[in-house]
Amino acid sequence: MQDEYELVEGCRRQDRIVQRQLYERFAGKLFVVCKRYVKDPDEAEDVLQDAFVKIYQHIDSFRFECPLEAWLKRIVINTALKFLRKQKPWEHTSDVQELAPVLPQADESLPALNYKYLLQLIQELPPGCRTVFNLYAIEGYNHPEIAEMLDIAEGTSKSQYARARGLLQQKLQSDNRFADGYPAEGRP
Amino acid sequence: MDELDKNIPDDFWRKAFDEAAETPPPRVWNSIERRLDQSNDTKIIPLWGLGLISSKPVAWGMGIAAAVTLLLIGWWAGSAQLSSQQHSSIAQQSKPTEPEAVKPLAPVVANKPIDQSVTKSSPVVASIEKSGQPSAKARGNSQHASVTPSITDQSASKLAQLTTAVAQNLNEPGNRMRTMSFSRSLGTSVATNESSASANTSTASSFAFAHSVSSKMASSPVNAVSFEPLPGKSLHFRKLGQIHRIVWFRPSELPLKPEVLKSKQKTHDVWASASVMPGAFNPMISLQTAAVYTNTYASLDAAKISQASSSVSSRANFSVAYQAGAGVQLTEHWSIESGVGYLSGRSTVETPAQLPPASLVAFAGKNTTSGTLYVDALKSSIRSGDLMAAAPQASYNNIANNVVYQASYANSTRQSLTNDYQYAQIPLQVGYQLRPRKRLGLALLGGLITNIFVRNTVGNEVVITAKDGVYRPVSFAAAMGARLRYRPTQQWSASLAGIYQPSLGLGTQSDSQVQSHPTSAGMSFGVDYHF
Repeated sequence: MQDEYELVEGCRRQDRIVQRQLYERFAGKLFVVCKRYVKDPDEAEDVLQDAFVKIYQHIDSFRFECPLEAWLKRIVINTALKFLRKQKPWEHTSDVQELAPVLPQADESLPALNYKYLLQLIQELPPGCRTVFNLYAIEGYNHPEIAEMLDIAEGTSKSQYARARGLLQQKLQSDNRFADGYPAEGRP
Repeated sequence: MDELDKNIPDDFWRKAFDEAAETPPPRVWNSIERRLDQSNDTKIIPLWGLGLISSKPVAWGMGIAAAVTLLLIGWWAGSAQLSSQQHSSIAQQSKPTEPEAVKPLAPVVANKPIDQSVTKSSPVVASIEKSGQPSAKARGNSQHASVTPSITDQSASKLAQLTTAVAQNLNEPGNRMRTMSFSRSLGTSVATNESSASANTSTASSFAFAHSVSSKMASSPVNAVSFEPLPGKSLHFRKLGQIHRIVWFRPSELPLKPEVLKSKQKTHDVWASASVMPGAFNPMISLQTAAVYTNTYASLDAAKISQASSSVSSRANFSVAYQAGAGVQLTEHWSIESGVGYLSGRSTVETPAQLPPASLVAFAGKNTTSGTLYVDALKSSIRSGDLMAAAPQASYNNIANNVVYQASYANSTRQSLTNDYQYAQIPLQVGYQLRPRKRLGLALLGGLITNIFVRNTVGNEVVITAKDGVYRPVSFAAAMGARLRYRPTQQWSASLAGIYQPSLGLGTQSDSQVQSHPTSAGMSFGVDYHF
């Protein structure tokens, strides 16, 4: 497999073959990232397309200070957030205190599930919840960081995450995928 | 841990999507590649390095000019700042100034010891400010007075009066030197020293007075006036190498430059074009026969006249049209174009000719006719000018219908005359792209051309202009054709078009005996620059 350094240097030379190799190597994972944030498949493709154009245009700013995949993923997330920012899905949301009492308290122990099933669950979330959930639970940002990224209050970020968690748990329970302790899809 | 994280294990979601991958459809890469190609084609037109500008002497000259301009601007800014903030020191002899000149400014001048001048200072001055630094220095045996009046914009002219008055007094003998220093600062301060020994004490204080200036200055035989700027706020440059504070910050996200123009915005393609169209131009000349003739002379010479009129014919000859224009692509298929052009159309007119007998020349009263029916008809259609002024009106009216005159033309004697038409053209046409966004495009063209008649030169002898009233100054023609455009680069393209331009209506005045329906056709070759 081609070294990351060679890939980056080739992209800096605007070598179309190397650009294609970079795309083929990372487009699959990054496409899933896009689909986690943007529900519509066509819009997810648009986000991926925009992200890769930015990647090729700003490849000079990559200094090998972090893994290439993390850098690419960060650009994809930023592009997705920029796309979602036009819709402001995380505005007009209630505070965490209002939603906390209604959170389900089920204590599911989730095994490794098929990512497609989990992706479907995430995509069914409202856009605001989906964004905050992705940033918090999967990308690993904390609520202050999410609040700054989305230009929302920290309480709003928490409430969105709580709501996402509640909706996901309700969905899992309603699908009855844990009757035997494992979901129907993605059983080990 | 967050209270909400208790239900689901840590890193569960992260691990679930850690290795998740899904191949995007091929159209994604195709779109990316297309956008990358477009961004690579986006070139910046250099301001330097084109044509004459690229030559070294011109480049050096422009660089020197720019440097001189910058220096002049800097000098002007610096001098303007200095003139507004300070006045240069002046050492002059002065005698007591007129109170009227000093009064508006309310300066403080003391030529006595400080204690004395304080007690005698006038209360007119509103503010008295003590200067922390000595403003007057003793130089030799002469006395020095430091005057730092408050100079406002309104009092600037009055300051000039004061200075003039002081200067007038300087030449008078017996006066002692007085040094006055002016500065643009709040308050007015004057320090006067009677001797060099008392300089230290006098310069430590500032005083203000108005009316007592003249009397005090009169008592001083020699006054030395110097204008010195007080130390104001100057620019302080931070010393290099001294870092006072380091601010660390982390950008929230990667700096993103403006996005590349999307292909949708490229639909509004704008181009400029220059073309030349060699072709054929036929004025379609015919002679108009009046009804008067038919009624009057039908029985006698109808056959001759009819034959003569129909025998005037024109045929196309080589013509060339130049055109510069611009166009814009409104939608994917439709475009609109306009510009300006020049048409030089040549044609040949075959007309019956005659040998002008002496009697007809006498009848016409002028011997300028060329002896051809066409030229005579043209001349008879001229409404005004030297020709008509020289000939009786009746003699040229309806020459083509004048039986006596007409009868002398013989079809057996025919003459070919060259006609050189010149038109200015303003085309306005729309285009429909049959092959949009293709390197080799094909478009159908249609529109209207405004022909502005300039002149027609017949046989290199007779020049008919728009003022003669034979041809319509402005006539219209339809334009239709097809254009093949090859666009090898984003900026440049070459065009090959076949254009047919029939006139809409007459090219001549309705009452003119010569009727013309000009028609041209040709192949246009052009180059286009796309912005």
